[in-house]
Amino acid sequence: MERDLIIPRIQKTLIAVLGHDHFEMRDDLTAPDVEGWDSLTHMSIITGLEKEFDVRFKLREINKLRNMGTLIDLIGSKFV
Amino acid sequence: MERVSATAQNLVLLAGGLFFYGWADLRFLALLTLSAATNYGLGLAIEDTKSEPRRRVWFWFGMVFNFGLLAYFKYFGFFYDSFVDLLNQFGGHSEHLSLKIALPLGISFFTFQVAGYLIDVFNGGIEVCRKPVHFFTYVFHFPKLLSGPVERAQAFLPRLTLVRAFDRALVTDGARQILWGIFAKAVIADNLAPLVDRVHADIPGSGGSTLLLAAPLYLIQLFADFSGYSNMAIGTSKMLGIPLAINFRGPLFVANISEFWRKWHISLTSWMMDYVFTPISFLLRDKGRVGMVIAIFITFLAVGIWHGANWTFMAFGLVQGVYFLPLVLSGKVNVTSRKDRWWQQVPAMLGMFVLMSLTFVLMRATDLSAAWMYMQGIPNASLFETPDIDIWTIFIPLFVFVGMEWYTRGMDHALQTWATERHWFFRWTSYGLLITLILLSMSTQEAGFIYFQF
Repeated sequence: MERDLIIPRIQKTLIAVLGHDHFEMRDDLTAPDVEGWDSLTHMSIITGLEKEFDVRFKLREINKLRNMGTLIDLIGSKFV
Repeated sequence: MERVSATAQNLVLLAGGLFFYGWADLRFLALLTLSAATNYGLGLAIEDTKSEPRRRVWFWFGMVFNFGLLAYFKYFGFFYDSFVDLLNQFGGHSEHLSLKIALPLGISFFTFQVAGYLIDVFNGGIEVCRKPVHFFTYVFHFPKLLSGPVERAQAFLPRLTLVRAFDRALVTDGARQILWGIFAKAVIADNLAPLVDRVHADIPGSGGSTLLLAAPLYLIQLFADFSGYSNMAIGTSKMLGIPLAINFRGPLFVANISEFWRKWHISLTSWMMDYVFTPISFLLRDKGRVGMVIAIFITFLAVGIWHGANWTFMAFGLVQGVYFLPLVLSGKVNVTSRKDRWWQQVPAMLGMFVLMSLTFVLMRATDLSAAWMYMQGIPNASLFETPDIDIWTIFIPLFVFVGMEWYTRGMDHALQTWATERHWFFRWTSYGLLITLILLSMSTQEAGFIYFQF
């Protein structure tokens, strides 16, 4: 799947879970930059993304995430 | 061209760390060195082994080794004695363990750091550390060795590859942080300690109002003690050019439980969140809110037990899980904090302060029945008497401490902006006052740090 198709769907999921859109979808965006994205909400976001894209992540994949760019790449890799 | 290499600087730090630990606890220096060497080797083994099953074997060997060591020293006596109690309930006649196992200083902090390192290497979260000097310097870095912060290898190891140069701004900021830490410890914590100790020594003889006042005093004492220690440790490390993790960020002024744990003993909570909560909630993610509740209970039970082998600590952890229930069940964990003005949050903050004060009685009480007696002692006629605690001798420093912590609650430490935002006269007068108060409070008696026992 193209990155351009992935990004708006991630954005949609984040807004649904966090209840706001005060963030910019940049590759170097990290969780601490986004209000409310902490360890408690992280798992809701992950399950939200799994549902949105109908994919399953592995724990090791989650642990390797560093920023929005790596998240987009991870989701993209599920559709190769 | 650098004249000194990072490795040479690390060697000096390492020598200092070994000397420091040996001085504090010579018996266990060999144990910690052996454990550090084992973890160094295990990291390499996990990284360099190609076969996945073998990697798993090395990893799980590491977990059993680290937590086994911790369990032996910290929990064996407790479980043995509890088992004996259970047998005796059924008519047995066994004796308690007469030989108390000595606890190596800092072993809880040490274990969590090296275990986290192995988990990260195993999960591919960090690159393995191949330089033994760097790895040992990470483990034995003296400011954080005995009582934290729980430093992540991920953040700490890269700093050791850089050459550190004298930085005036960093050194003076570190010095200010240490000054605030000593004030919190020597003036606030050590003067509150006898007041709180006296109440806990005679719970049946203390009236309701006395018990009610001693509870928040203990929360402030514990906060001053541990944040004071943390500020001294972080300030010292900062002066050496190595910033450490932040451990407290205004935890006395929070509007809900989730905010409290994001601000209290941050380095431990974030460890627990990453290595306990995340994997468990990941495994249970299809179970919805039930999965979340289970993960939170296990995580906070682990936070409680981390403090030591006592039913009071387990109860403390369970109670935290209960406090999270309304947030999780109402789905409010996901909702970001409202953008209220600070004064709109004051009622919630006061409520949380009272709740946490009463909860932390569990941390101070010697056992569950003492804690229960404490709670039962509050709601009775003596609640309306004048508390029997001589708070007036410490009132002004206490007011300054809590006021400053409130005023600077979003900052790394209370004196952080002193250099840039305060007039020199005000600045130096305040330093002078703090130092005077510290000198006046310094007693000849030795006052240990509360978190050294954990």
